[in-house]
Amino acid sequence: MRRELFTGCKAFGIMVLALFSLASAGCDFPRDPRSTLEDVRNGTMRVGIVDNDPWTRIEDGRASGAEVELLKDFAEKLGAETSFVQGTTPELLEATRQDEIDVLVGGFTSTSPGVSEGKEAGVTGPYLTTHSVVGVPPGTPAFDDPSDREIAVERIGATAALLKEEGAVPVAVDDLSTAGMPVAAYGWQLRAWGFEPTSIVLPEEQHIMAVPLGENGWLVELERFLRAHRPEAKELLRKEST
Amino acid sequence: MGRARAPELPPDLRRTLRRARRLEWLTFVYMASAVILLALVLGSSQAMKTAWIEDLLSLIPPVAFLVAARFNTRGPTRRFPYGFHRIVSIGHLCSALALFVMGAYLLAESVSKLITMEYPTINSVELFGRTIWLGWLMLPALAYSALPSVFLGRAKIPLAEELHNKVLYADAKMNKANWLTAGAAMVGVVGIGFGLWWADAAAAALISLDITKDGVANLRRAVVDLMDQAPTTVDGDDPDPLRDKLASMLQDLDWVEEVDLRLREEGQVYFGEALVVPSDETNITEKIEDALERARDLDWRIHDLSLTPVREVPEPDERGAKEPMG
Repeated sequence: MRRELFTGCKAFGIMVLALFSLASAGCDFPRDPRSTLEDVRNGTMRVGIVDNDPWTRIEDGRASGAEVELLKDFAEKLGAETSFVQGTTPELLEATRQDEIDVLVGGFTSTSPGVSEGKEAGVTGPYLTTHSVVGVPPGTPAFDDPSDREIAVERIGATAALLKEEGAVPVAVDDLSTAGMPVAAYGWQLRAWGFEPTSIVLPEEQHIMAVPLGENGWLVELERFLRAHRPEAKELLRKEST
Repeated sequence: MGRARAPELPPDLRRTLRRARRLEWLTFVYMASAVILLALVLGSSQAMKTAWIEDLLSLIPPVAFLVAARFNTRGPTRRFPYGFHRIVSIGHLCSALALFVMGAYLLAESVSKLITMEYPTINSVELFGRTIWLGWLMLPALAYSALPSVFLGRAKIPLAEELHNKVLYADAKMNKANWLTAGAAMVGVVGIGFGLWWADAAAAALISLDITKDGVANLRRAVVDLMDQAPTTVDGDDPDPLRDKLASMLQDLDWVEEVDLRLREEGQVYFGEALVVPSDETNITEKIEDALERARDLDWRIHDLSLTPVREVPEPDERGAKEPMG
């Protein structure tokens, strides 16, 4: 029994040694099972877009928005062309599963259903944190209890869900800047539109992007880029949302 | 001696028990720390998850042992006239069932991941301003969860044999095998690093197969012990030679003509009864008391024996035959 254990420990030691020497040998680690990173470099980066202003927009067949601009920079850094595919979240998740899309964006957050669970696509760590503030039109009295108040949002989505949790009644309006009622928006938007911010700050939203499952080399490269470009991302968001 | 109120263990073994208790506390604290550490670096690697759950499961036997060791030596009460010895077997059953169910579940999960070709995704984290793939951090965490436990397991095996405690023994075996689990998980993680998506699920399947095997073996032992199987040695399914030793000791008494002996395990100790055909019935009460005294002196595990004089023993059955146990 003692002998058997001894050889066990030795085998373990050899295994650990082998693993670490392997780990230090290669610098292009981890690798992709389907070589996405290699294909994108000096090739084309296929970007899936779910329309979600100000993060992503499609106007006259042209893609724009904060995340789109960010990915264009990433493609440039990799020496790649970009091609954009527009669709709904389920369509594009399916395409990502099929490895027909390299990266999927659409203002997704760490609570976006379908994406954030990482079941259909791999997700990056949060690369940007935002929070919305409730503001009131000029000349309207401010309030600090959102319960049962109607508050305008651009569309019923993540922000509306957060408002509901606070007890407010979210109302979708076309243009927040001309809404004659309290709105939920980013701080700089409120300032630009001349709204008075209230003390009601909604919980943070952590923004993520999605990639095909298991493409770890590609995922890590994207995460590295996003981490290094946080200030640019914030700046792009401000520009696109005012 | 029919209602032995004496503590289970002789003084020198009580010292062994204290050591075993200390080791189990150490195992519990260390395993808990390993579980927390692995949870911090837990990505979506199936092998990693399996190794983590195994560590989580290996918290159960120390707890079962420590709980059982608190209660099993309590004296009999009106409500529990046979004492609390069997709590050890119940602890054994609980940990075996946990092992088996978890092993089977993990096996099914990793095989289904292989079949549906699910690609494991592992993120990176930012550490000291650098982006590091989480896979690299998993390796030292796995090593931490494996290496010390091998030595803990090694230290516990002789104690389990001395104490005749099967929970402790199963736990020691699990600890000893832990390096295998961690090693397989490491291979899986490095496989992912190489872009071999299946390496992970395959490693996980291998680990869970091992867990399931341990679970089935322990489950079988715990169940047959609770079904009053004849006592076996702690390390396997061999009949304990103590039974034959006791039978021949009784047989060799000069007033005994024939003996029929039944023993069963209640946790660490044995209970049983012997039917004897006396050749000379004078002073039979003193003779029986003397025989019981000798039985107790033979081994501490003979805890609760009753001896009944009869005219003839029942028809011999296959009890004496060397049948395979279990």
